[in-house]
Amino acid sequence: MASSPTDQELLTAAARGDQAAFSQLYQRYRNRVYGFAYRMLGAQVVAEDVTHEAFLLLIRQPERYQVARGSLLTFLCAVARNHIFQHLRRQERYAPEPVETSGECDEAGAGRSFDPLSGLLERELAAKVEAALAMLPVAQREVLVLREYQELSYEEIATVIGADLNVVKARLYRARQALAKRLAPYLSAEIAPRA
Amino acid sequence: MNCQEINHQLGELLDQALEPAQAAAVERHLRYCAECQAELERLRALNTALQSVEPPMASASLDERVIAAFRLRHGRARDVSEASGWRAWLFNSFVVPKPALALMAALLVGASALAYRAGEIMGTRLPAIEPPAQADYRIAPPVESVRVIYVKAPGGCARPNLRQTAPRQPGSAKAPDARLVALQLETQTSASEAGIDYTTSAALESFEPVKDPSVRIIKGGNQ
Repeated sequence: MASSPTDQELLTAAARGDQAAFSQLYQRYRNRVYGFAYRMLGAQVVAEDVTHEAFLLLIRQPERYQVARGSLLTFLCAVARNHIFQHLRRQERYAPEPVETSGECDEAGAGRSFDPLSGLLERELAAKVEAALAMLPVAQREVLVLREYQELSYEEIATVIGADLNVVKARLYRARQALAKRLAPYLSAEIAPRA
Repeated sequence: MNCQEINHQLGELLDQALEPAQAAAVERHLRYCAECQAELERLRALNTALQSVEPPMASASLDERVIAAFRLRHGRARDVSEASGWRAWLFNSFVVPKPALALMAALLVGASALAYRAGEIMGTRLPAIEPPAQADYRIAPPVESVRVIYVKAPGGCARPNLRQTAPRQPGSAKAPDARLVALQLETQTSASEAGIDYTTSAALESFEPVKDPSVRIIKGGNQ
């Protein structure tokens, strides 16, 4: 069975104009980059702009990605991060979009639970989590998003944010403590009774 | 290790980011510390709550923009592979690289300039449109500077270069008052400034300064 091509192989082919290779690469990381941007900025349009800019750099200057420096996802997240912070600097404060589920989200939510009440509680919890995330300082929010949603390792997170490992650990700790405190009423029901 | 140090490592334990020896030490502590166990459970619940958030979905327009950017970068105006039959032939025929297009445009402009110049030399240039013999000066009067002297003289004195508009009263024994009848002149001046012609009409009292230095203005009484 042929293994899927590596990121470097796809990028090399894309640099030569192979649209299929680029499309495969794009589909591989689009949601990850977009998810990072969206959770940092809270706005779909801006998050799409950031995602577009990240891949635009890859299109125009594929040589900027160096395998030795880390994974392609790390590179894309780092590029996206620059644009995210440019946007945040233009804003006074981070204001997430109103929590209004689209049709897609509603369908996804209904698909996960047939119980309307539990579905409602899940959506309420999700809304609270998003709001709590939005209230985190940017420095803590980005390490938490990169860890919890992008599933980057501590070392990869350190590469993206340009800081050392201890900074990543400290920010993650503070972010989790802050979130746990804000979401305490919702977390108490989740805690399993001691055996 | 004390509970505070253990608490700082619980997140790393969940993330499997601890060295094996460190992880073993934390787990040993957890066996005997209920508070740290509760803290670990709280972090697990937080992790579960964080995953409850639906992943955001990008719109289809994002894909279109990115793919369009790729095509633009690599010189393809449209995806010829999507066309078929005579349309594919037509698109292939008109797919011209950008540098060639720029060169063609430059050649076209240059050829047009040469052709125009050649027409001049050969005498085939279209006759120039001459203006009509009589210009309509009502629209654009010629610029001229007019020397204007104003006098406003209640109690003023005669001036040799002034015209007295007030006629002598016939039969008057008394010589006409040396004072000038108060004149109120309404005149027009034309002056130019930086190529812009303008015409002003002004009563004596409200005369605006004229930019033309050849125009003198005398105002006020007893002069």
